[in-house]
Amino acid sequence: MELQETLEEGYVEILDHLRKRSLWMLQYCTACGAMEIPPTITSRFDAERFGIAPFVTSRQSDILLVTGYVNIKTLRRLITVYEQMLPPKYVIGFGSCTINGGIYWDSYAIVKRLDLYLPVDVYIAGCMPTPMAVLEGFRTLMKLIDEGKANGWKKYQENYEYYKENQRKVLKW
Amino acid sequence: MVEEIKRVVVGEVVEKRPQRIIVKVEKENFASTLNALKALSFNRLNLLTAVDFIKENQFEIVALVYSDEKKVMTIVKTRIPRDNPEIETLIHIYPNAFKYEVELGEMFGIRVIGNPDSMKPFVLEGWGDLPPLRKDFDSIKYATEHYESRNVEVKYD
Repeated sequence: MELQETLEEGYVEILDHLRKRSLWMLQYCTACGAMEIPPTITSRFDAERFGIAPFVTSRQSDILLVTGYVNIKTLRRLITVYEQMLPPKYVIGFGSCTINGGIYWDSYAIVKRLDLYLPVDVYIAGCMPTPMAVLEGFRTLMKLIDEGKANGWKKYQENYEYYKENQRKVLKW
Repeated sequence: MVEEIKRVVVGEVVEKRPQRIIVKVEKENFASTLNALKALSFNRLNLLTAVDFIKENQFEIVALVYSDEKKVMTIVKTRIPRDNPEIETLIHIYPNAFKYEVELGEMFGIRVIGNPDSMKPFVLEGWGDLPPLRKDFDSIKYATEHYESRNVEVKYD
């Protein structure tokens, strides 16, 4: 039994080590944040050298990159997209809008904190974050995955009721 | 161009600049004015929106129409009372007015007669408060009450 547990742990560690080298990214570009993505993924900064490539469907993506503000209409779609993704899945909050509302802190439609509604693994601060900052965020996520600390999706499963309650408060489901 | 407009429009016509003409009409003549302007080659509706004049207890409905042929913009304005506001639809004149009218209903609470989607939620799903673009709606208060903020102190130098 102990041997099997040890083997399983080692197996997960090896998987994590390999997994961090091939992350497919689904960008949820709500706003100005989409501007920094083309230089990040094209030849100048070239995110693909880290194994991070943009992808088009939620079912086959690993990272959900939320760029910019999230309002009450897009939050509902964002939750649907997040729940469609297969685990392991990671969420990156991009820009100050996802951290504390940014310049939309007094808006009637913008939710201020993304981590109340979705489990965010890494935040990239800035308005806007430069491509270097985005790459640094990706590298941080890769490091967390390697160490087995990027457990946002497990947190979401374990605290499902907490997240649903927060979502219901805003979306009035 | 002003003379031609004056001939077909019932209301006040002001020429601000050669390419900006302001037409102020009564509420009943709003749709018919735009219909007449469309016949005068004003074939594009650029904007349909409202302005809240809370002190006068009125909404001003503003429509911007543009003539590609004459390169002239005409601004058509009308005032409606602020209590139980209603206007006629423009979708049979300018089809792109459809979403602008939905926005009028959502953001100002103005009911558009003849538009099937009027007063249906478009951006603000599940909204239960005052329409947000009215002047008596307090955006900061609403945001603080409904959306939880991060509890940190920011220090500036």
